[in-house]
Amino acid sequence: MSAHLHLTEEQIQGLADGTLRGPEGMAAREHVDSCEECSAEMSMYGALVQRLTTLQDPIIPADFTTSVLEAVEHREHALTQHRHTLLAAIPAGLVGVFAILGWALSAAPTAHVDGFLEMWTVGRHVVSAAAPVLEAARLPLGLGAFVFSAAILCILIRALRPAAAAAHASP
Amino acid sequence: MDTALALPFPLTRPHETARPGCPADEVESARAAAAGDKVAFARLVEKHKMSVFGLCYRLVGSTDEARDAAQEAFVRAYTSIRDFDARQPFGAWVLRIARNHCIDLLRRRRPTLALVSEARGEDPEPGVASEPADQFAVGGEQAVQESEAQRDLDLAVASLPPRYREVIALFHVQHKSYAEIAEALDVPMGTVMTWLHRARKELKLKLAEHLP
Repeated sequence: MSAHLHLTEEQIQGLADGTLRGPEGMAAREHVDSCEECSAEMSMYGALVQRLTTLQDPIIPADFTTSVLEAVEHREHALTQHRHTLLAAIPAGLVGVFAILGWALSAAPTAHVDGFLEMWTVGRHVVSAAAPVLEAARLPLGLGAFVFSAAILCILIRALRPAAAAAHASP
Repeated sequence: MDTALALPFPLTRPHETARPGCPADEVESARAAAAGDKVAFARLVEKHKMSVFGLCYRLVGSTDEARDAAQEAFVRAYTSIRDFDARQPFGAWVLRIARNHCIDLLRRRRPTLALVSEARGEDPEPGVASEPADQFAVGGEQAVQESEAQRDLDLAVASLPPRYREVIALFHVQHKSYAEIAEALDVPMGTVMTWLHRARKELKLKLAEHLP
């Protein structure tokens, strides 16, 4: 191992922080002992590593774990609310669409079907045949949609009430 | 120093190439937490809160933000704990969550020097005297020099790019191995070593007046 070749900066840093060990570390150490330039570099990195070990993090608050668990509870609750709201919103949306379609078709079914199914006479006949049924079902359909919407609204209110209470309770 | 000495051995040692696994007690706690056991999760928080908080502090730069970021990291860990792969350490997994969250925070906000101002000892409350007045009384000139050197070190570390701050914090403050850092940052071990070397090289230049 000749003295006129020098260690790389990585090797010197490895020696300084103690991660360059074994035969490789011994060889590097021997070189440093016999080479002024590498020795100076080694002293500098040694001092730097020494300084870095004095770095300290601030003290973590004593109630950290408690606050994490509270935040977890809060997040779980929010996720549950979100899920409930979604589950309630899907049937509510379906009911709305169903009510609108039913209402529109029951008002003047043949006119709408003519527009949509001009080319398919079979389809028109079927709808024409169903027209009296739809017309007869117009009132129950509207009432049914109203009752169903009211039920969905109740579910939504029940789902949202605890969240509102929690929001009032929190500082 | 332009010629490298060729050594007949690789720089990376074999024992550091194997990635660490998850301790059995942590696997148990993680499973229990996934089943809704918050006491088990609290054990995991207790065990890893210092390293997560420390990393957050080095990344976001202020104690308050670090506490909030660490808390958010643990909450995210809890909500997705069913996805936790027990072949990796829980500590590395939660550190990765914390790190990603902090990087998001850094991207979202304008560049600030919060850590720098904290390191300078600037008082956040106006009208309150800062510390140097009593330094001579406590330990004399040497204490002042030590304090200044420490402040310069904090400033120098705070001025490094985030990836370098991470490896400095994990290696020098939390004393983690290359393999553990690689696992936590989700990068190859060679990258960790490169970042660490570059970080120390930058620090050497910045702190030249305090080094021999």
